[in-house]
Amino acid sequence: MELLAPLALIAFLPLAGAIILLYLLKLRRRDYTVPSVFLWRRAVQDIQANAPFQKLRKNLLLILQLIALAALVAGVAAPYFLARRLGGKSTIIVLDASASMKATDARGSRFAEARELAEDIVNGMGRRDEAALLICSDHAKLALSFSRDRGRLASAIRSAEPTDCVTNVRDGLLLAYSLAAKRPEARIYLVSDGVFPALPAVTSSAEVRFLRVGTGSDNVALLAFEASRPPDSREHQVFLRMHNYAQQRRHVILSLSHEDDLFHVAELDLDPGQSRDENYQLTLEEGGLLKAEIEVEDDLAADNTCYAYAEAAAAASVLLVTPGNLFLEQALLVMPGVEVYRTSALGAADAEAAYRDHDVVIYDRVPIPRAAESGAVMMIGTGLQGVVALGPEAPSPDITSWEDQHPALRYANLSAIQIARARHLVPGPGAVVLARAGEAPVIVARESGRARFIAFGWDFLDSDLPLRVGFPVLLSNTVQWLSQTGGRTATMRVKPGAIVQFPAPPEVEHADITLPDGRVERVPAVEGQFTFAGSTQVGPYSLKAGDRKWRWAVDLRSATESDLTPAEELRVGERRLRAGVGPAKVEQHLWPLLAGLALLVLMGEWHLYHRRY
Amino acid sequence: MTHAASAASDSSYLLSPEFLRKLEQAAIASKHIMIGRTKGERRSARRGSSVEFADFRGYNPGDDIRYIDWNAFARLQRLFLKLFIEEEDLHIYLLLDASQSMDFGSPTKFDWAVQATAALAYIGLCGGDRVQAFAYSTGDGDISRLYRGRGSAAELFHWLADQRPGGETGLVKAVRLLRTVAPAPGLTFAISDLLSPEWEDALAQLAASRGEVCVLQVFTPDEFDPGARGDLKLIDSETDEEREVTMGASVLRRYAQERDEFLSAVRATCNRYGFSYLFSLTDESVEDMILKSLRRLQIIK
Repeated sequence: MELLAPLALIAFLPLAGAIILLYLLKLRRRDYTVPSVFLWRRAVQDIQANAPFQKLRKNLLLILQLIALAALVAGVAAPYFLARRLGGKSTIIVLDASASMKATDARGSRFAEARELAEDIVNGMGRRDEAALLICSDHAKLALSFSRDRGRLASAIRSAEPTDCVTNVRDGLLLAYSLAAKRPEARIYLVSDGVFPALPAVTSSAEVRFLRVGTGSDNVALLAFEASRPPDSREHQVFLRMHNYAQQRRHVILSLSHEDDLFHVAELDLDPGQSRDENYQLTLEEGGLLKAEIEVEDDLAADNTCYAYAEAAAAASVLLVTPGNLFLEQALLVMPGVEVYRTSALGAADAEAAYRDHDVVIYDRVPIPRAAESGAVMMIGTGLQGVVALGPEAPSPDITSWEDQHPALRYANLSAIQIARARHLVPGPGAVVLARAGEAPVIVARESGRARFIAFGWDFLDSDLPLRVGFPVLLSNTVQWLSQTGGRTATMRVKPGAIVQFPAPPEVEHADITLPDGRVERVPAVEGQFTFAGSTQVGPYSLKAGDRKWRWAVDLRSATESDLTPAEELRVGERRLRAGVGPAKVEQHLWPLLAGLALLVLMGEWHLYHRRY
Repeated sequence: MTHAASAASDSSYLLSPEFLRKLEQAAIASKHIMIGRTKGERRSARRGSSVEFADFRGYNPGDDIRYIDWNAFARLQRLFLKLFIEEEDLHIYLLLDASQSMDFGSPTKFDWAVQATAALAYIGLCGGDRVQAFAYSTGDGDISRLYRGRGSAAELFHWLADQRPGGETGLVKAVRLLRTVAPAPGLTFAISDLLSPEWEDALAQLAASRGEVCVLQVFTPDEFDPGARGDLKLIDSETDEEREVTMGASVLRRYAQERDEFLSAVRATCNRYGFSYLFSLTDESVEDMILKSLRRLQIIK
C-alpha cells in the first residue's frame, strides 16, 4: 500500500480536532417560549430515560463523523496498491520454450514457473483485456492469437511444453512486434531466463517487459563431441569438451558408448567455470553412433548427452566419367582412402547402378544421363536440366566471391585461378551458389536428403586450377563432402529442432519415427520425401520406412543454453530492460472506495441523527 | 332598551350582537336536577309548587291540606298528598384559567376562553340562572359576585374583560375555593388548557364537588402541532423552566404521542368522573364551539 499524497494525512488532526471542539462547545440553542413545557418535559424525559444509550449515541455520531473524516482524508491522500492487472491493454506473452527453460532450479522447472507467470498475467486480465501467446524455441510459434477468453489462454499456456532447442527469441520478439503493430499500447511480456544473445533493435511502440525465471547456474554441460578418422588411419580420434558452469566443484562420471556398447567410463572433477577437453583414440570395426554421457546432479539434463557419428574405415568409391583428364585422374589416385574407377561414358541404366555402387560419381565434360535420387555427383563443365543448367559462356571470368566456410571449399583460394572460358550456371531449386564471377554463379551445390551434387562451370583444363597446389585440397574436400552424404550410410547428428528429410522408397507411403522417449510418430511421404520437424528432444531417433531404416541423433551442444545463469537484464539493441519477477503491476487506487465509505458513513450518521431527534 | 341590547352594546368587544342573539335562544341543559336558591326556570330536586306533578306521599299531620288529593281519598279512603316539582334557578360556575400559559396563540387561548366564558355566562343569565365566574392562576385568583338575570351580563362582561393572564395554573386551588364559596351545587364549566401536572388532582377535586362538570380544554393549533424546528431552548412561560430540544421528526413524533396520550388521559378521567368533556383548538370560533360542539354534547340546547 502506497500513498500518492501522504502529507494530506496531516490534515486529519486539525479537522478531527475541529469536530471534537464543536462537540465540546455547547450548542447554542434558540430561545423559544412555549405555554408550558409540561408535555415537552415528558417527551424529552423519554429521550433522557435512555441516557447512557443517548450518551453512546452522541458519541456514536462523533465516532461516525470521525470515521467519515478519516475516510475522506485517507481518500485525499490517494492510497493505492499495486495489483497484477493488465490495465486494459493488449498483451503478448512470449514464452521461452528453449532447453535452458528445462532447468530445475525453479519450482518444478523454469518453464513451469514461466507457465505460472503467464497464467498470472492471464488471471489479471480484465473484461476488455486481450492477450496472445507465443511459444518460442528454435522458431517462434503463435500458440493462440489475441483472445479475451481466459480459459482458452490458460489452456494454451498449460499445454505448452519446453523443448531441447536453442532459443530463437529474436524471431519470437519480431513476431510479437508484428502482432503488436496493430494494437496501440500493446505490451509484450517475455517470460524467459534470458539465456540468449542480445536482441536486435526494433522500432515499435510496444512496451517490452522481461519476466525472468530461474535463479542458479548449477550445470555441467557437454559442449563438443566429435569423432573423426584421419584418411590414412583406421583409428578414430574422439574429441570431447565439457564445462562446469556451476559455482561449485562438480564430480562427474563420463561414459562413452558405441551403439549402446559401453566402452569407456571415467570419473572426473571439474572446478567452477572449468572447461575440460578429453581425447580418445578408438579402433572401430564398424561405423556407428557414438554416445557420450555425463552423470552429474545438475539442473539441466538436456546437455548431459552428446552424439557423434563414427564413419567406418572404408574407402570412398569414386567413379570418374571422363573422355580423359590426366590431372583429375592423378589427383584422385593419390588421394588416400579413395578407390577410383574410370569410364568414358555412362548410359541411363548404368547411371542408376553407378549411383548405388559408388559414393561419388564425377562427370567430367560428359552429358549426365539422369539425376541421382541418392548419392553424390560432381559435375565439371557439364550440367543437367532441372538440377543445374549451363548458362551463357563467359570469357576469362575472375572468381570474385566464394563460400570459404563450405566444407567443399575450405582452405581453397579461388581468386588466383585463371580461367580461359567458363559457362555461367543456372541453379535449380534448392541449389546454393558457392562461387561467383561477378554476379554469375560458377560453382553451385545442392544438398537434399541423401543426394548431394556440386557443379563447376568450367572445364578444369581450360584453367590453371590443376596446376595449382590447392587443387588436390579442393578436390579432396569436395570428394570428402560428397562422400559424407550417406550415399550408403544412414546415420547423422542434427541440432535440436532441425528439419530432417529422407527419400521415401518407392511405394512406401508413410514412415514410423521412434522418438527418444519411445513414442512413435507416423509421417507421410510427400513428393517422395519424409520430412520430420519434431526433433526437438535430445536423444536418438529412428525412422523406418518399408525395409529401409535411417537413424539420427539430436544433442544440444550450446554454450549459450548450457550457461544457465539467468540474465539480470535484456538487451534489445541499445536498450536494456531490467528483469522483473512478476507481471507489471497496475496502480489500484482506493480513493473511490474511501469516498464511498465516507458517504455511507455520513448517510448513516444523518439517519441516526434524525432518528434521535 | 332591553337588557339584551344593553348587554350587547357594552360587550360588543367580547361577543358580537348576532352571536348574543343566537345565545339568547340557547339554553344550558343540565343533566342533573339540583337544588337552587330561588325559584327559577329549572326543575329542582325539591318538591314544590309548580304545576308539574311529581309524586304522591302519605299525609302527615301538619301538611298543607291544599295539596291533599281528594280524588284519591274518594277512591281509597286514605289521605295522599300530591307533590309538585319545584322549579328553581341553576348555579353556573365558570372556572376560567388565567395562567400565563393561556396567553398564547392568535387569538390567545385566554381571549378565546374569556369569550367562551362570556357566552356561557350569557346563556345562563338569559336562562335566569345564577352565574359566578372564577379567574384562577397561582394567586388567589379573582371571584366575581353571583350574577343573575340578563341585566347583569354587562357587569359580568366587564369583570371578564378586566381579567389578565399571569402566573401559574392554580386549578386545584380554584376548585377548592369554588367548593368553599359556592352557595349550592351547580353546573361547573372549567375552561383551561390543563397544561399543569396537577390537572388530575384538579379534576378529582371537581368530582368531589357536588354538581355537574363540563371541562372545556383548549389548545392553540401550534400547541397541538408545533411548527418550530431546529435546536431550541424551550422556556416555560409560567415557570421559566427550560428544556433543550432539537426539533426533528423524531422529537415531534414523540411530542405528538405524548400529547395524544395526555388528551386521552384527560378524556378518560372526565368520563370516569362523569364530566362532559370538549377539546377545542383556538382556530375553532367560540360560536361554533358553543352552538355546535356543546350542542352535540347536549350541554347546550
